[in-house]
Amino acid sequence: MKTQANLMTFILEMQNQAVKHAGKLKQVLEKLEPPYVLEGVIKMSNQKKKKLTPTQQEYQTFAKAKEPKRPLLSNLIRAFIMGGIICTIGQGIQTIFIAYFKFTEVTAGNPTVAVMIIISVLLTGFWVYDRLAQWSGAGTAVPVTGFANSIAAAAIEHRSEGFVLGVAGKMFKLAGAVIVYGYWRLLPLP
Amino acid sequence: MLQGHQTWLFNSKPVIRAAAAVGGPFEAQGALADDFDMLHGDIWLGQDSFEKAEKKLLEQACEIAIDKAGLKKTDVQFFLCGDLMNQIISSSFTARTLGVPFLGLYGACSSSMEGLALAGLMIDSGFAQNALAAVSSHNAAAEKQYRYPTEYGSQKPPTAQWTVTGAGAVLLVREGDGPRVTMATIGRVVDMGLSDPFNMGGGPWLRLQLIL
Repeated sequence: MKTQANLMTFILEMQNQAVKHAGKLKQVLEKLEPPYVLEGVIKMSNQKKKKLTPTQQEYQTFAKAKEPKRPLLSNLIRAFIMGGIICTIGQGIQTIFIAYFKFTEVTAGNPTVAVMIIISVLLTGFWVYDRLAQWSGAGTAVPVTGFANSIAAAAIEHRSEGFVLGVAGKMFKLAGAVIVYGYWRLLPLP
Repeated sequence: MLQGHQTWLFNSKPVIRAAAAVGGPFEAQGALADDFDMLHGDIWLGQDSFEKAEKKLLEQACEIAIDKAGLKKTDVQFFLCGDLMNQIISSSFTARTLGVPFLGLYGACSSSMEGLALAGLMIDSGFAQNALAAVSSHNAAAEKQYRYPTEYGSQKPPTAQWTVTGAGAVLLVREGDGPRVTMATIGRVVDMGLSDPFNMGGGPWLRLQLIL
């Protein structure tokens, strides 16, 4: 409680000071070329951070120090493992189709994708997929299974709003952009 | 009475005559489980949508609070309530059930204190003899509205928060025994430039501090 009160007092005081000096700061910044370097201001080499006032920068540094960090290395490893497993399963299914169902390498692609979609939708329906995703992160966002999950998840979620306006109208909430723009262009988005 | 820039001093010190809290299954496993008046085993509460379940939670919290105070619905003068839904539907529909003059509030996480501060203001200034202040939220309903579908496979970072499935109600009266609301400081919205929607610990939120 006390720390919070002190922090709020600090923030308000900094805010008041920032407002007082804002005019002067703006004049100084306008004369400088990026990257801006000012005496007594926290240096941020990140271009995006330049748009923040000194108060905001201080708060963000403070907040970042207190946040639990994402375990980057273990996340990467998990994503790699899960992505690999899903792709291996896909490859296995494709091999089965080629070996036992008289498909060729070219034509086996379609039924393989169909089976992967069905598995993904079933896992979503049985409340398993999101747990796998929490563990593996991007590993389950692997194209086909990830999109099937997003459509199934949205459909399940909006069932309470009816079949037409709810399920049908909102099931493409997340995957709609993929359909419009195509998968590859959406890769850089988080 | 106004004190300073943004603090209200309640000279008559309104009393919290009764309070009630209702929670869901996740809350039942938490550290405060014993302090809830009612806990539910699932988030549906026998309703066919999450929004209806949230309304049910709120109705239950309000009814338990009014019962504990030994009053009837008709005795309550004002109902101040807020929640996270669009058009605060949970509060509005509960107001329909209660039939008490209704003031809908929206303050996101600060709605509970906002309700209490305003109820204190009404009672202290003589504009009400009693007032019921309540809030509710529902994890799945909030996720549906604000974030991703519940079954969607997106990984939540360690800073992501979990919306409560629960409702709380407080009956504030002029005279009586119980904790008193003596002051309320209304906070400002301060933008610290944080842009991660998953980080609700550090993000810009309306801050309302109630000093009891």
